[in-house]
Amino acid sequence: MIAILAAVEEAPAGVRLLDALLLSGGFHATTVVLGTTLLGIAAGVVGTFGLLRRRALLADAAAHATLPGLAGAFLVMGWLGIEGRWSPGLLLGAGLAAALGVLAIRAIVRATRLGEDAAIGTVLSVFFGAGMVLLGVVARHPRGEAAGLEDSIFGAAATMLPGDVVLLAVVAGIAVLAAVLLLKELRLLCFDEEFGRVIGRPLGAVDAILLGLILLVVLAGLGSVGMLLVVGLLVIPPAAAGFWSDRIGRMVPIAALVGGASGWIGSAISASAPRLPTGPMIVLVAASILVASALLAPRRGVLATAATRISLRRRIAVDHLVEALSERDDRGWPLASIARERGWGGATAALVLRAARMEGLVAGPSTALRPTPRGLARGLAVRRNHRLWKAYLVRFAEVAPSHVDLTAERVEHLLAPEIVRELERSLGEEVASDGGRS
Amino acid sequence: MTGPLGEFLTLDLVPIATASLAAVACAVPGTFLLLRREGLLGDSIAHAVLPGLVIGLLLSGGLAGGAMFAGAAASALLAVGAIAWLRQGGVEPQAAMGATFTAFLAAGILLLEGSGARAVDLDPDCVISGSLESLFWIPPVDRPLLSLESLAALPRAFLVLLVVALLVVLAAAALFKELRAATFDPEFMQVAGRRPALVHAGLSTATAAAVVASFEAVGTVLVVALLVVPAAAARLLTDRLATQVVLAAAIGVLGAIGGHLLGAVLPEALGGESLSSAGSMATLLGAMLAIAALVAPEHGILVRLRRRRQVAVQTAAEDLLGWRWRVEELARRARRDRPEPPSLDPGLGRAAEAHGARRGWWSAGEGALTPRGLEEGRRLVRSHRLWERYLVEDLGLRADHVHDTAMVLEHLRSLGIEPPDPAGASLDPQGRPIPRAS
Repeated sequence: MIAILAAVEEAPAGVRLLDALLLSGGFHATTVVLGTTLLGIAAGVVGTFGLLRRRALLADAAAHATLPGLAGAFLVMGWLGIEGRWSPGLLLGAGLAAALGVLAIRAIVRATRLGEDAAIGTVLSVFFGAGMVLLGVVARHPRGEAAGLEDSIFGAAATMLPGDVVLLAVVAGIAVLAAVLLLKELRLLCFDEEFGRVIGRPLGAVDAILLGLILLVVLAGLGSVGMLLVVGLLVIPPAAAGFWSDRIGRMVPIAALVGGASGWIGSAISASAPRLPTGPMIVLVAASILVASALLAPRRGVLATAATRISLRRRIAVDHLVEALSERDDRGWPLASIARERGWGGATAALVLRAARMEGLVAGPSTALRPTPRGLARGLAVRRNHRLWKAYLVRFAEVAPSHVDLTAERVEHLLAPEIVRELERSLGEEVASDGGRS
Repeated sequence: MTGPLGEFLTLDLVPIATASLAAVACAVPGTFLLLRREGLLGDSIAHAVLPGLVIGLLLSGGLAGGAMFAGAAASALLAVGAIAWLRQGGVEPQAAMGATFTAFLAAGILLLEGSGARAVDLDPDCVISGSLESLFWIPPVDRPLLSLESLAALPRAFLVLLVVALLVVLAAAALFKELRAATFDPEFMQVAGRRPALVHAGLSTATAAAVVASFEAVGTVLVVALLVVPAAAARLLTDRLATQVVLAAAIGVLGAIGGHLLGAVLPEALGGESLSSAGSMATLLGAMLAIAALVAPEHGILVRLRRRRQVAVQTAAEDLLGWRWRVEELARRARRDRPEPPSLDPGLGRAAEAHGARRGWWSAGEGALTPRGLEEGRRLVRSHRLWERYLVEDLGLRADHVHDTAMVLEHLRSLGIEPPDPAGASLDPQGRPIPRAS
């Protein structure tokens, strides 16, 4: 064992990272990697439901509230003569205190006029403060081997044993099993609680189970990521999953994947170099995945929305070009005159022209542009939309005729074919085909 | 200076004064945040200052004030921006906050552990629980206490907080109208041509300043407690905004003083060692909030329970009155059947008897109605039967379905709500006469 550790110490960091990732970084590193991966999976699954139920920070309050439970359990066990570090007892105390914190939040929200934000902030800080006071008592306890308690604030993954990995596997198994068996009920709870109650589903019990699962993950995370950061594992992977899908059946596995990957990669990085604590490393990997998702996700990512916006803007500019050409006679017009009218700079005008040419909407040199038959048809369609929308605004939305041009200018590009048909039906053909100025 | 007074001046005055200043600096923005239901934003900022603080520390090479302060403030504002960015991307608000502050906290811890800054003199535990215990004041012996030299010996954290608290209070006083408008009616403010978003940005900045200034001395946990708990207690005690701000600051200061006395001074006086000051302050604040929630004059739980009990007693007394009136009505018409008496639990029944006796409906211990009781009972039964008529004839309900609803509606008389009373209605749906109005 010592020999393995020594060998690990000597290898360069890159090799050690690879070893840890491939589970060949030595017995100890492998234990930690497996354990935190399982924790990440459990947290991803449970956290998704917590997030969708808008309870993301309830877990934070619960996690903070474990501290007085840990310290209190230590003291109580001391009086009872049980060895102070007996961990089932400590976990029991932590769980009780966390449950008490959650109940306190409910009581504050129900019995007073304070909102959930105040309740969560209060429970989080007051319980943790009480825990700090109790830690002070523990520190001068005659059996004061209490340093282990403070470990659970920031987490100490290095102390993870194979037995802990088995426990974490059980926790992950319970989380996945509950998600699979109760998916229907959990979905109702998250999206349509009232409907679920009306059709007689026991949603109160399902809510309690979800709360129990959240507490379970919090307790499971105390040892490795610690009570301050465990909420990161419960919140960040589901938030990242939300960028990739808005269907719960997909969000849950994606969040599990992100959580598991964060645990795996984070603990491997942490094992590859000294002085890289595991809990923060895992949370930072998760946060990087979140940022990458927010940037790169196909529909809701920043890049995708920017691309959509650009292509829309280009389409509108092309619309304007063919609209302007369709209003003129077909002798051929210079691009510059249209650009002046629209306020386009030279570069913009060139880009618009290129796009219009690529779509085969205009022909001729840029000094004498003419619309192709297709371009003419599109220009006329845009003018027709403009007029239809204006007529609609004046007749049905009762907007003053002098005020409609501005909105019509924007909406003319966005009208879907079926809306145009609907407008034609309700406004009559004569509005669309009258010869008046658009 | 020696003796107990000198000890107090050296060891206790500065922690108390520092925490009190932190309480004031936090209570002011905390009140507005709470009213906007953004209490957790303060919580997030309190956690998110760490990486900036550490970077500032590393750059300046020691605990020199300026760089750390600037770093922490930059980090807080970056976190606010990150939260806004995630929310814009569609992440649920609580999750956006949770993801941001855990990521920032993780980065901070990693920087702290990885860079060796820990060795300088900042460690994670200190970040959490503050360093109130290590603040002391040793004024030069040969100078009066209020001389410039003595005051210059005050710790830096105290002086920074003095400035920040003063600035926060002055800014809040100067911009009170704007803050109120932006808190309660941002749309109106927008329409009136002012910029609520600017006020919100200012509020975030003030929160960040208060957090950053308080953080080093009192620690994350107490900062969160000071931001949320006094404001929550004040919100329960009053509806007036200005009173609420002042009250929140006062409660915070009271908690700071009391917490230090209970946590540090009292245990020492009893011959023990002092406990965590910040922890006992947070705990005491929690206790004060609990007391406020119980005994607050308008929104307190006890007041609300008493009000509910009064309504229950009055309702029961009216039910008793209606039953006795119906008994006498049947006796007058020489009928032998008797209506069912209202089923009341014994305690409520006694209270209802006493209530009716007080109102002069009957004399205590006797069943017979007084003339006043007969009059009141007649009005009550009239209301009941008119409601039944309304439910059947105007709303189309079945005659055998309306009694229970009418039993509830008849009590609305005490709120001045009477049933519709069309001319010529003389019988209720069961064919019983509707008593005349007078």
